[in-house]
Amino acid sequence: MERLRERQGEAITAAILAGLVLVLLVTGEKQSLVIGTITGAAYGFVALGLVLIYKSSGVFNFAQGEFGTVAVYTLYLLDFDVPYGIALLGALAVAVVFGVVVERVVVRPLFDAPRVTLLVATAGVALLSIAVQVWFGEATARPVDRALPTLDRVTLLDVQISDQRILLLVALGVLAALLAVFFNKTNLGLAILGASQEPTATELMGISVKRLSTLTWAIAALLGGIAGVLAVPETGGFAPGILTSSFLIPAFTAAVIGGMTSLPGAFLGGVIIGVIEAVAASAPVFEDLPGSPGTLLVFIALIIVLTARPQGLLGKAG
Amino acid sequence: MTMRARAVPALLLALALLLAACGQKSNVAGTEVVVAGGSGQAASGEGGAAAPREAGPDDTSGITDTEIVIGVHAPVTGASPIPQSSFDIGKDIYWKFVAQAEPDALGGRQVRVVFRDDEFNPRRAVQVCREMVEQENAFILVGGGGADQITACAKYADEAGVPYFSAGVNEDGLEDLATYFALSLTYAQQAPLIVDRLKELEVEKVGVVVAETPSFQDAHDAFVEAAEEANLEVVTDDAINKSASEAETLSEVQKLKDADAEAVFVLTSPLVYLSLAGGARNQDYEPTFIGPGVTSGLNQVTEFGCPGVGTGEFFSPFPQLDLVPELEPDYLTAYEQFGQGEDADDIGLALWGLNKTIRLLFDAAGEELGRVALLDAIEGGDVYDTELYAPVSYSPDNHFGSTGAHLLKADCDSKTYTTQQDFVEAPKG
Amino acid sequence: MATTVERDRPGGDDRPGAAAASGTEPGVRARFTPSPLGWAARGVAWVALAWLVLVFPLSREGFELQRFSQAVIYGIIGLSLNVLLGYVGQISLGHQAFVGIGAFTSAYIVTEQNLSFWAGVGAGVAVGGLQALVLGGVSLRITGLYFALVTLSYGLVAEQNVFQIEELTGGGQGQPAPKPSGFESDWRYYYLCLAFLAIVLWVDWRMMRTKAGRALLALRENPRVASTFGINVKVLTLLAFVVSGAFAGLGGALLAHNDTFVSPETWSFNLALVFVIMTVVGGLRSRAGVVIGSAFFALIGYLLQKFPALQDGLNAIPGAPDLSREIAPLVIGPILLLVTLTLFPGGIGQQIRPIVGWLRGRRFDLRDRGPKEVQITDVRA
Repeated sequence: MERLRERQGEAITAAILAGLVLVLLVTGEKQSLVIGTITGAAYGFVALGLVLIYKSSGVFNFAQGEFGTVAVYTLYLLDFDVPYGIALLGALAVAVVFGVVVERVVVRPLFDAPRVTLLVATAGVALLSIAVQVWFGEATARPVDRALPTLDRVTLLDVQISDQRILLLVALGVLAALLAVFFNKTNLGLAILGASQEPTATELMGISVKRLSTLTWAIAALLGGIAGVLAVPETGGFAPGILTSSFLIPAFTAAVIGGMTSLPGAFLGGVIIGVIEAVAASAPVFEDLPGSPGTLLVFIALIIVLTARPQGLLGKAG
Repeated sequence: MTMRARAVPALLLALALLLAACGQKSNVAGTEVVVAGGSGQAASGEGGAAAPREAGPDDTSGITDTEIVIGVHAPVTGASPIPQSSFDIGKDIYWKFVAQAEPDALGGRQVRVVFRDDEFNPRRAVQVCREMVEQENAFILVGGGGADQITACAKYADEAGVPYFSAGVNEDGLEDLATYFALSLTYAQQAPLIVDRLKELEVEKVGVVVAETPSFQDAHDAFVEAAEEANLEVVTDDAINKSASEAETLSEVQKLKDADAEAVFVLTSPLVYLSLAGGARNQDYEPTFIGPGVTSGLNQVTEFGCPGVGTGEFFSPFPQLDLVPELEPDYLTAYEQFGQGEDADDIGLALWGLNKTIRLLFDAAGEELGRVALLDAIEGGDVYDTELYAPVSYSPDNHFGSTGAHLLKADCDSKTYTTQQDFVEAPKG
Repeated sequence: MATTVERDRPGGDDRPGAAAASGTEPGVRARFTPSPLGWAARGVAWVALAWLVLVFPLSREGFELQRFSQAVIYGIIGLSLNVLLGYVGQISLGHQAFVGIGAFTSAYIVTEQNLSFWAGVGAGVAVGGLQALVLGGVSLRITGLYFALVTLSYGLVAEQNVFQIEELTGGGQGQPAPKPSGFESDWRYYYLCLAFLAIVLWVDWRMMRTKAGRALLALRENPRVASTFGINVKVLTLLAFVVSGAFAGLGGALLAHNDTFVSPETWSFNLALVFVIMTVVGGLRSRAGVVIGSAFFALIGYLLQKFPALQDGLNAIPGAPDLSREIAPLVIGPILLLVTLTLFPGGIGQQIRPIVGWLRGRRFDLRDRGPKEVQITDVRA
């Protein structure tokens, strides 16, 4: 009976989604689908890290965006003196170190604290990171090099997609799939999941829960770093805290909509948020809304998903 | 809580109410923002005080025998920051130069510039303007950039009777203020110039993108009107959020592309402009971006935005650095001396021009320099020509007295703006 | 049970015969009453406190008073967030929207509708309470971390959509909000804000003394036991939200008229975090702590300006560029938050418990750390 209910729920959701896509195609918003997918991929990438941390420790990691910003900043600083490839590695390394430090200094002491406390703590980390960036650098925006030196483009429905964006999409898809396999099939992945549910049992089996935690945060930081260096150059420039101010909140919404426990869900959620924003910006029906229609529509989508299908589109109920 | 303890908040409440109801301490120092009185009468309905001004007690606040204090506010943090280091040097480099080259100027006084960050937030702008007047005794106030912040602070300055200057921005909300003067063309005044340029470029279809704030409404309307009069087709007309997301700017670019706009009239913060231009370039779409400006024509835009901003042309109060050796070599000399080793930049030049104009206005006020004398002198109708900014001239009814601007064009080879046309005259009336 | 005899401050009563002398049973801890000298010392402390809050500001300049008023108002806002965070246990990352709505409402009522300041404040309180009620309703279905996200999103909608409605808020340009007649001077406005703070403190105190209030606290500790007492959890939660929203709306209205200007940019997500930080660092459930913490965060910039020695100290960090006055609060805030969460969960409130206890006539006890360590809890998370 449960299975049936679940299947029904999934079917209804799929039908609604398909219906919405049809509406978009019919009303001439096809370009929003394309634009939304490419901008949403960046959100999805950040959401991937969020889901990873949530799956392994139940924490809403507000510092996820800053893993990316720190990487981008390092890339910018190193890029002047060092070839891009090395600068990239350096940037990712710095992101990982940052993640591990956060885990040690903030997450470990609060291991048993309520998850909301950790949310606030990670928010504090994000704020501190942004403050330090403004302190040492300045508040202005700077350009950052792209990963791919060429600017090849693919045209889809009259919208041109740069090769870097395609790289981002592909990387996102591959990583999401890899991580899903990792968690479901490999011993280490299962151990991480198990550690969050049953820490004592895990310890008894000789696996260090603390080591797993460090590893998870390192991976999440790496994901965040990759998201940063791939996504930010396309947006024209970075300012302190860019990934937090421009990407983190949509990414959270994307993760929730896709399902906080589902890695492919992060991908899907990101694309959905991107499309919502693109439609909100271009559809004439929203033109007279004061301010940014995207913000309002995303909020409404969040409420709808949380009330109608709290586990998210691809998450598991209960 | 014990009985005694419970009495405490009650006592506090009673005391507070009592003290609030009693008269204020009139023997405590410090000025108070009270409407009317003093040297600024906020005359409504006319551009300036119809009745002669009276010198209030604060008339010479900020002026001593040895110095004059100027308060400047601008955004160095927030949504559209200007680099702090450029500002720190540029804000008073003109006055340092004057102190050295003309020690007897301004009655032998030196000018001290106080600067505050307004965080690109109008409420904060009001706060820091107030601080500079009350705490630092600023004689006049200057707005460095940001239309909403300038409007907010100008209103405060008017109430407090403090003369306030900025580069020209909007007119709405500023035209009835008695103490505000725009030292360069307002956005609306630049509309005919922009249309003329578009005609020169043989553009027929133009798109309009303006940031969503009431401050820009008059600029938008002026341009659309001028464009239609000149038989230019306005193919799209959109307001864009001040903090637009990537999806929003890309959608806007798509719209402009689909409408075949050959040029785009842009009136947004530099960050949004960068995003639009970059997005357009990525879509293989390169319209001419054109607009009025103060901040869009700065080299930091070309430094970060090339190649996307390569087709940008903006009007500006100041010419670019390429004309400086010819027009204003003193600026370069001053920067060598006081620039702390940095290269002379255009932000400093913009501030130099503002300060130079203010210097001429100070001189016009004469020996007895005071707020009222200054305001009266400015409205006297004389022409003040810095030979850097276009000449300005004001009257009691017209506080937007600039007569021209320079046209800057982006050059992505050098990643700077160059001066395409200097001293373009605005039509009279 | 041995009574611990501690070296008390002068005036403390630790004579061996004290317990017997007060006529209680041996072995039962006697109620401590300070000696006359103890009372005198406490009295001096109270007077000093009162002087600091009530008299000292008179000697400062007008714009400094504006800062002090802001500190007082932040105290009100901290108390309002404390109701949600400390009493109900729900986190709000959109609290700046509650406050901002109060601010814009009041500005609109006074400027556009030409009504009095009091009408503006009243409207601010009402609107604040109302929208908090709606959000409270949402919180009944969506809890914990997800609710945090909803409040965050709500805050963004407020900043980018609601506050951009030109007819109501003046859009990007903002809206003036003049000071009330009779309280135009900064000094009077400061005392007015103090009066409001006293009212809020009193309402908060009374509210938590009622059966409903105690039930709310019990709810956090142990929801199952609480429900067996026949407490209507839902109604209580909604009520708490309304109170929180009302306080926040009040704070917003007062802020608007303090600045004499409201603009949408002020109400950013950043401000939401500042509010959370100041409440958590102040110490959840500790009224005194929250007020002090909030005031501190409101005054950091001012303190750095007034005491250049502090500024020099900050600039002396080796290898780092100068920590300017604008940036210092951005750095200090999160550091204090992290320190509080990891090392001193009870915040300032917990640290000053001994002092507060002493001021109230109890023995000064350094080990008094409160009944339990208070953390940000959501039992439903």
